[in-house]
Amino acid sequence: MQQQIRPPVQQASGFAPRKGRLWKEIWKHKAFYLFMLPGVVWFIIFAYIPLYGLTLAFKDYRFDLGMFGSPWAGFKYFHEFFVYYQFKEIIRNTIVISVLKLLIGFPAPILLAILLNEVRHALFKRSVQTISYLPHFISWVVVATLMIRIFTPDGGPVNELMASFGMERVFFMGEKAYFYPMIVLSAVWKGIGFGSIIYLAAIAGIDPQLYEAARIDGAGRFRQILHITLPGLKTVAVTLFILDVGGLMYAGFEQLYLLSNPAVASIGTILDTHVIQSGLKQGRFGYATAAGLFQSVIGLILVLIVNRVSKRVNGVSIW
Amino acid sequence: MSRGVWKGTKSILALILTMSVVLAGCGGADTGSESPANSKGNDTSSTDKPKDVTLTVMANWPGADAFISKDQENNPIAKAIKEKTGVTLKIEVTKVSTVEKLNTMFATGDLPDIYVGPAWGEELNIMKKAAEQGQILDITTQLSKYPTLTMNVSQEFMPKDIYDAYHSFGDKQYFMYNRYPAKPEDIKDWLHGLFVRKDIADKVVVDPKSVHTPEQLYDFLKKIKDANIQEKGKTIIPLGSNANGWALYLTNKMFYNFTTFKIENGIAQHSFMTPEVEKQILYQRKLIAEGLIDPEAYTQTTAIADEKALQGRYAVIAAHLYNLINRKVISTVEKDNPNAVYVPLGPLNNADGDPYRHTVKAEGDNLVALMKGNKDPEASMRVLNFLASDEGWMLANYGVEGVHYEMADGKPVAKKEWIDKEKDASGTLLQEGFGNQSIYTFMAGQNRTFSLAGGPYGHQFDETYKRITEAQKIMRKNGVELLQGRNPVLTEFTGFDKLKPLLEQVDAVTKQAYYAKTEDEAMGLINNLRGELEKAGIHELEKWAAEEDKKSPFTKYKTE
Repeated sequence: MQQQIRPPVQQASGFAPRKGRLWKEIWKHKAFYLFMLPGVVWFIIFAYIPLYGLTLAFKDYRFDLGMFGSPWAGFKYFHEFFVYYQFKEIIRNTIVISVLKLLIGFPAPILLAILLNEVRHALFKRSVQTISYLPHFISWVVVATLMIRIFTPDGGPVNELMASFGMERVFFMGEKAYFYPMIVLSAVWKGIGFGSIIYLAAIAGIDPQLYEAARIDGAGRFRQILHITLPGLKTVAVTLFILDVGGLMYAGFEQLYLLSNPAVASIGTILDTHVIQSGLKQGRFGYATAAGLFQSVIGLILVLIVNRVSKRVNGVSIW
Repeated sequence: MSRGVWKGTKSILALILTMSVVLAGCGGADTGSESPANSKGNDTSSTDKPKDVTLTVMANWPGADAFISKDQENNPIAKAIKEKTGVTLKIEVTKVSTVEKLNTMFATGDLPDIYVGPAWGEELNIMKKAAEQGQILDITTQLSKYPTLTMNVSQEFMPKDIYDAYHSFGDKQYFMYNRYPAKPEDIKDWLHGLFVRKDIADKVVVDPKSVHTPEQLYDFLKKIKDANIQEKGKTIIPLGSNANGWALYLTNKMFYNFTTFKIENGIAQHSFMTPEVEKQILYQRKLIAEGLIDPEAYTQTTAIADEKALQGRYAVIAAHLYNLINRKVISTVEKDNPNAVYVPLGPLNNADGDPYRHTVKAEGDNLVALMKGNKDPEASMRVLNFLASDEGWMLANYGVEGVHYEMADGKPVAKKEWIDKEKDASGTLLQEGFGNQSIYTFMAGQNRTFSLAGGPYGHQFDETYKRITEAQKIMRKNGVELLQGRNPVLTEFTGFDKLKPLLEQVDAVTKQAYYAKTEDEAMGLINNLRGELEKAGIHELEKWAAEEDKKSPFTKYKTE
């Protein structure tokens, strides 16, 4: 089937073009390239040009000399970061929060997509989908304020309900025991609906004949999910997993910045908040950039490792 | 990638860079065209009407938007300023923390024409660094033309440490100093302390004046908690604060009153390294753990803190009296419940067991500077000079004569109609553009509230000012003493760079310790940071402080 399709695709997209043919091909498909242009320009301006800013990690930044003219400082700031007394604590917090989010937050959208796929009542399915997408569009500032209000021990609905059952009031946002569950669950609540879209699309792409064949062979709903739906999601899931692992050192800046407070700071300070704290609040731009660069490099290494492992084990990879 | 693609990419990059340069060039040209270095406004003695110019001002005080009229161009004060100086001030207020604002402002180069902000602390350190690195205009020449402004930075009027910092650039002058007392009677005693709802104290049968020691405060708060007082379905919280725990640190003064260093017999100890700090932290931890302090005190925003305070939810509240008046806490709570009157608690004892020893510092609060790229330095100095004059000060603080006040026996008397309007709709005076909190007062030179005006606007009619006198009688039985000495300038210590990031953690670690589950956990947090401070050279800093103190003594005793 693939072989039948490949020759015309090759012709159309101009695989292995000779010198000069690439421009001809681009010109031929100029409308598509025009669509792509804003994206390319965005990446150049906001992702590639700012890469130069990473040199700050190796410089003693001065207001008057700026990024280009400030004197070089070598690896001084990396050293300061690695010997910082809370270094281990910050890295531990970042990884623990990320791993918890990954363990619970990664399978959650898959589960929701499968559940939604099994719903036969169209109106109900659409309503659930819409409601579950909505939190994605609410900013963390609003979510954090809502959470603080809902869970406050001072007249918050949750505590009032608990009190009406004779239970003790709990300062959920300021108790270490509840902090990680609050962080993980709020992240899942916010992301589950939107995350399920891609899986729903993948499920929609599974050949219906496979389900028919399975039914003829006597497979029930559960077996169909197990042997057709889940394998059908594998490629998408692994790709997203690899990308998620790349973000392991990013535990969610906005969320933690807004929800962390002195009562939970010892388990709530992550690399991102430390970078902001040292960079913007203490004006240590070189140090903050060094910490940020370290974070990115670890992320890249993780993606490379997971991608390679996945390629070997599953045969699925992003390149 | 083929050579063609690379050539194309290079072209795109070149195009973007060219565009950036062209855009930057346009910006520069634009600014340049509005920089008439020798405009008519230069000549202060000129009788010509000064050229109209709009200057941007950054007021680095989060929350100060409340002090600005919504109509920045047409409020009576702005109109009068423009008429006198030709200057329209377009004022912006920071939305982030003051230090963060300064760091981002200088890093991005997005500078206003005039900067107004905190005159001390880390803010001052960053401003000094910015001045050394060419981000602030040297105003030495301009200052010489304006005797009033020159007087405002003269040794005669400034606290020594601030004077030293402002004059640490050789023969160059970058900063002006504002809102510090012109005469001893203008020194403001903010009346920091704990204030208690009298009706609640009566309910638990405790005389507010009898609470002085930590034990007495603990017992008093415990009685309130045990009484489980409910109002409108909500429980009264024994002790509360404003946002981020302000000003619960006042309870600390029961244990120690020394400033950055405790210096005894020529030996200096950084305050965080002293045993007293442990007592103070463990005391607050106990109050939080037992539910005597609002658990959200250190985590809440201003909006949430205001909500609780305005509903009268706090039996005792840590603040200064002006804060409770300005936030309308006293008037709102009293309006809802006439028996709920906030009165001073104690006062609390100091480390020597004395509740009545109180110090105040004759200090100002605003550093004013002209920033690099200022579009008209002459006009900037002209408007600042006008605001710093008696006429400008009266305009910013009292409004327009004949409209907002009349003169009687050489002193201004507010028109009662404006006091009534303010009572009906809070913020009316600020919308007019004046008042002791008006943003224009931040640039209006020395504070002359009593020496020039005989008291704050409307003190003759406004009953809340009677509260201040009553509170003074309770809290300042032995009067107030003027603070002596100077503050240490830690940046002068070689090796401070290593200590700075750790010293900046002191506040965060202290708050973490307040919320520790056990005393051991709290001590662990404190000792962990102490160990790091020792490794980074805190004891060398202490030795340096002891030497510096010998040369010229630091302030050793400071209450709020």
